[in-house]
Amino acid sequence: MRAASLLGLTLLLAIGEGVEAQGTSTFQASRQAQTEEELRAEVSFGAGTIRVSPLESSHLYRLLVRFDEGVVEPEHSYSDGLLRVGARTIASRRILRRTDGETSVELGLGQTVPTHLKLELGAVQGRLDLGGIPLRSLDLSTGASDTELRVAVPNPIEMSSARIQVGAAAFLASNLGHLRAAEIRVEAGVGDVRLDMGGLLRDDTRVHVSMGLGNVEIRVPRGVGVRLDRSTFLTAVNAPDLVRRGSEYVSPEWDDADRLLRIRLDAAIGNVSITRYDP
Amino acid sequence: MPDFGTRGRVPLLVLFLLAAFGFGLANPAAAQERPLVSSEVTVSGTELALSLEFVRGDPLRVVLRDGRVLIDGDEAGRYTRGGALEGAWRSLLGELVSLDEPGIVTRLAGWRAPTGLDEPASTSAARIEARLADALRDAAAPDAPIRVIEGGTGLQEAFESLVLQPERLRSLTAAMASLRGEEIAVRIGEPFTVPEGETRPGSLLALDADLHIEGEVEGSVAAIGGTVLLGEGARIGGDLLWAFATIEGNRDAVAGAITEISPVPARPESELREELRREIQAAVETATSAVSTVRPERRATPSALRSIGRGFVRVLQTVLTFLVLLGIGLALLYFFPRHFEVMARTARHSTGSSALVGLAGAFLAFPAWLFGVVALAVTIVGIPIMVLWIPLFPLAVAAAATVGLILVARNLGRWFADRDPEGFAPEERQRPAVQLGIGLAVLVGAFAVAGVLQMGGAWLGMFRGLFVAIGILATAVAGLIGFGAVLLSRGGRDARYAGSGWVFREGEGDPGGVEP
Repeated sequence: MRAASLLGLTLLLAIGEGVEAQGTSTFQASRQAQTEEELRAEVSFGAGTIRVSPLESSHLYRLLVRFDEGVVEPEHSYSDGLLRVGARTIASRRILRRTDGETSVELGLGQTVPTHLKLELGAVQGRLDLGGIPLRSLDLSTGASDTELRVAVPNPIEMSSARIQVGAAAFLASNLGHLRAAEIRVEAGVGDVRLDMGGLLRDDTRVHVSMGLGNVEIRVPRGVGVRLDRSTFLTAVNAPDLVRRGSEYVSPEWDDADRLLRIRLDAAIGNVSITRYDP
Repeated sequence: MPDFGTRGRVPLLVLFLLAAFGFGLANPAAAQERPLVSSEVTVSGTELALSLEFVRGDPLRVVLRDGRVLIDGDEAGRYTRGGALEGAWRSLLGELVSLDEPGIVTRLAGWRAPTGLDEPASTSAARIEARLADALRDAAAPDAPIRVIEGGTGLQEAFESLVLQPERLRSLTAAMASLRGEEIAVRIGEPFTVPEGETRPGSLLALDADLHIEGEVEGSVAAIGGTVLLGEGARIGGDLLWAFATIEGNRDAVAGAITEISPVPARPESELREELRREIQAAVETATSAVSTVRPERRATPSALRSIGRGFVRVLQTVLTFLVLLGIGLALLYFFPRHFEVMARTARHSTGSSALVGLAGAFLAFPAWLFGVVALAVTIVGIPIMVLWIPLFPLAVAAAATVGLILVARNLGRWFADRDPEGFAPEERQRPAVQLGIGLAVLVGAFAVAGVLQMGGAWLGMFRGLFVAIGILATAVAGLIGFGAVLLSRGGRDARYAGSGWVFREGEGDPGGVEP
């Protein structure tokens, strides 16, 4: 046990040396919204912390990266509505140099231009406040990261689908209903996933959860009709409010509810629970 | 005195017309408020860079790097590293990071390089200041404002005449091009007078409007349609441009030239079509090249999901390997408990000898196989045996190495159980199956950790590599020792190297048997 703890500690020190400290160099980029009809924002970020939030100003976007020079190189390009953002680790120097701090990325997105947002996050602590950003699509993949997704304010426009891929990670999402997505696909590898479906604005929303190994909790406000169609292997499904109807499970208000949530669940090993709460 | 107010339809019409001609009637107020389109600031130990892109004017890029000042990509001077200029520029950029565009413009406009700089920093600083001033001046210069004087009753007719007579539209385009950059007052469809004694700033554009000028117009006058009557005391500071109009009166009043406007030549339809075709072709080519350049880049970037997938597969492979080895080990324990025990003890008590024998065996395996093939080939009787020898000998070696690995894993597990770990009841940890499981988990654990790290992506590659190396080393060493023990104990039939005074008893819980 002791040996394992020591090993773990060494690893932690090696990976996240000086976790509290932030990078010593700064990169800032911002752009005013001009005549763009839409923005495609692609974020690829390996390790550190990331925060995405809406901007109140007339900006199209605003980016602030704090990084260690020689260890990490911020990446930023914008052309014809395509924004690419990232922070690349300069691997060759990584072993030789001590890191002075953690890379942090703060990306603000404007609220005037419809946006396709794609995030590829690795070993990242992420906080994504997407409320108010006009999102046409969302494609989020996280590796070994702790990510929290909040949609406090409804998406001003509707989106056809949102895709969330969670690797070996903890993922917490609140008010996913505010995304106004017709379909939300969540693919979880190994990890804990908690999805709060609060703020549903569409009459009919489909959620497709596929999970390898781990725990998934789906929280649905009372009053929303829920139907569960599951295909599971060694998975305990805990959904006390749902009753069996044919091959599926439905909530008592399914036939009368204004808002419907269809959950399709494919799970291998783990626990899945569907809980209700008063909105 | 005419009324300079605006009436609903008039600005709309003018907007329509001017937009149609590509003048892009910019709102000067907005332009002044947000002359910056984008900003990019880098503050690091080796580079201090500022890039600005303006609504109008050329972009600006000033970089201080390695003692050199680069302005718009060209070297503009040098500076002392750690000196006053670098300090001041660093502090300025540090402030800009937290400002938005209007704030950046204001801050830059107020920035001055430190005084008392030595050469060459002093020259560099002056160049930076000059470039900043240029960029901000260009950016802040508003478009020439266009004011619309109230249109008269003839507005509708004027509009119709423009639409129905394309020549007039093209003349208007040419007139606007000539007057661009000046403040322009536009008069549409109703007579307009500049009374004697009045001085009008800027220029005047009359569209189907009779102009009567007795006073002074500081800029130029353009008239499309209608009549321009110049009084004795009239004065036009610029040119008088006209088309489809009549000029009467005092022509000397015009300080510049009186010129008939040459309408912008009409472009033949075929030319327009050709241009459209070229534009579409260029757009398609751009899109195609974007696709072909973007894709390989995407392939080159390992996505988080791919890493997770590969990592997951690696973990799964490790788990499967573990299960297979455990199965083989349990089968050996069940069917050949004595042989297993003898081999395991040989590995334990004669570790050094086992390792040496294993090493020698590994090196000699291939020559032995080859020798066997040759030896069997030269004898007639041997040929059918050779057919079996060729595949079976390597299989036997691999099986011996696998069994060896399992033996060492059992020994490892037993060593671990003897450490009195928490979470295992004493009777449980003495079970050979449990010991075997623990030992195998330790041996292949490094590969599992490497798999989990792989899920984290490329940035954990170093640690992943480390664990893979540890795993390979551990299994290789264990395999060699075990292989040696198998050979040394002749497959568990010879207990000479298994420790002295030890007797195996069938059915004993502890495969260690009795050690008197």
